[in-house]
Amino acid sequence: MNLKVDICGKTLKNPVIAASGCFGFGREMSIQYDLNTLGGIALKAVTAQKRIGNPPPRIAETPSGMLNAVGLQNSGVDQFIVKEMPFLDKLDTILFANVAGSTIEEYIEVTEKLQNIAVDFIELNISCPNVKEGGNAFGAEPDTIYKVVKQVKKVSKQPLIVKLSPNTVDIAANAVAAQEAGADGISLINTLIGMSVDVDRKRPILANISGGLSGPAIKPVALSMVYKVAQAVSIPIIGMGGIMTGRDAVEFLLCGATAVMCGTLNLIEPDGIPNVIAGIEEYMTQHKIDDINELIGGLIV
Amino acid sequence: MAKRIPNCRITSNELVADDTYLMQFECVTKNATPGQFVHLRVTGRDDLILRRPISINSIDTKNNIIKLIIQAKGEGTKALCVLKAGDVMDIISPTGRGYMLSKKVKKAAVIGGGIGVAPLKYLIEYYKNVEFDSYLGFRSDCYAYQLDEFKALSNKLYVCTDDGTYGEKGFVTNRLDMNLEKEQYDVVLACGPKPMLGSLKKVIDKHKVPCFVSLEERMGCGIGLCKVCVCKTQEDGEENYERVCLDGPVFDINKVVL
Repeated sequence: MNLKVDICGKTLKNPVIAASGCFGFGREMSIQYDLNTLGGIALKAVTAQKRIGNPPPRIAETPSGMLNAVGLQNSGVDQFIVKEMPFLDKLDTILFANVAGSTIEEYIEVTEKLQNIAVDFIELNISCPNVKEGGNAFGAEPDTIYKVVKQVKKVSKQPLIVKLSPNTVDIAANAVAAQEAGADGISLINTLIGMSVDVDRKRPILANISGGLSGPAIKPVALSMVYKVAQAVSIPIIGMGGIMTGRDAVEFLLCGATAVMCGTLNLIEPDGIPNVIAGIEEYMTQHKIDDINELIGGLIV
Repeated sequence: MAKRIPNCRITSNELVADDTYLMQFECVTKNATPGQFVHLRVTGRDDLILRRPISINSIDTKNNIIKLIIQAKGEGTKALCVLKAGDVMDIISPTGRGYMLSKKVKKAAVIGGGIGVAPLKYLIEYYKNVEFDSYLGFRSDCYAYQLDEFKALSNKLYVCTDDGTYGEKGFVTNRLDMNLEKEQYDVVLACGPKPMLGSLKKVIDKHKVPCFVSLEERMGCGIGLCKVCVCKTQEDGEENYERVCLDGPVFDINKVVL
């Protein structure tokens, strides 16, 4: 049985990648299982300077989902290289460095600093809903997406994956803009903007008032957006949004994703991703499929 | 080390005070330290996707039983409190950094408020060679639990209620403040609501005693991945947010901004 998939000439052992922001830099999860069993790891977002993030509460539970508003807490790209890369260098899995920023200059600065670092992909995070500047502000309109992708692509030797926000009018148009600007792949969806209110205290649960909705609640939205984008672009797509099982992952592959990312799952089940991989194998056995690539875009409509 | 154990069988779940349950379940936990917690899925409620962090109240190592005190407060804890003997829970255990006492500690005070009293029992049971005075605060008589056990385990027991229905009327931090005029403790160990810990900080500043507090925050993974359950810390003039689940829940009171 073949689980290997190819993205921009790089081979993933299997199509299941840990999503950015839900896996730290891998260290904590390496106690739970062998990270080399993963298709890849999308690392926590890094910015040019250290960011302490938003005040707590940063999380709220919602029906079959959750809201978060971490606010890109990280030690900055320099500290990332010094503190996290020695551990990550030893891993035999595909690494996606997630790059965030407030300005185009910051995205460029961080990407430049990652050029001689052993990460396989740059994942451009123009879709974080929890910071006042940058983030989703870059990811909402085709014009700004085109500009930032074009600039970052010039300095990036690694293939550039653009992570798109669902908080937009036409995600397919945004994907096309990214492709035209030189993006090598698209990952989607980032979280949906949402709120939760404590009616007894008449206050928002999150200190940030609003946050990003993730988990099984958003899977139907994510699937429809992946399907739509897959019709619009020719570059590879990495799909995500509420994947909890192998069968969920297969849904995304059928809709046109070459690989998938699991985020919220890691917060619930420390052994979640290995179970998703096993679930995909089980599905393939049941359906007598030898090569996972047969599933990609295989939706019958 | 925190590991997922998907099939822990509940052996009993009984009301011990208003809205407060003592849940016991089977689980082999050899090395859990006091102040650590277990992270529970809410059995039968897949729509409540997040786990609930509940501190360890006691461990029966001979029979492999973990005991928790759960307050039926939100939707998840209410659902946990109606589980019955024979029901199964999916847990991650043990998680977090607990109270770690040096061998030099001979006499200590534990101070807890409300549901925060629960982990202090395991703390006293665990450090058998330390003499403990217990300071326990509850809103009212009807919310007090395990007082007989604390009485048996403690050198001295002080109980305060907000409304004076049991023990002394007032805040337990005031009782500790007064006692620290004459009592010497090597360390004070606390768990309770934020306002109580804020008052405690003033008491500790005044009497200059080492003090460690266990914090609570809305939590995600429980194993340090997601950075949502943070508390503000201050060290050498630098402010940071640290993870309650992995860097804590127990912190030096002088390090955290309360």
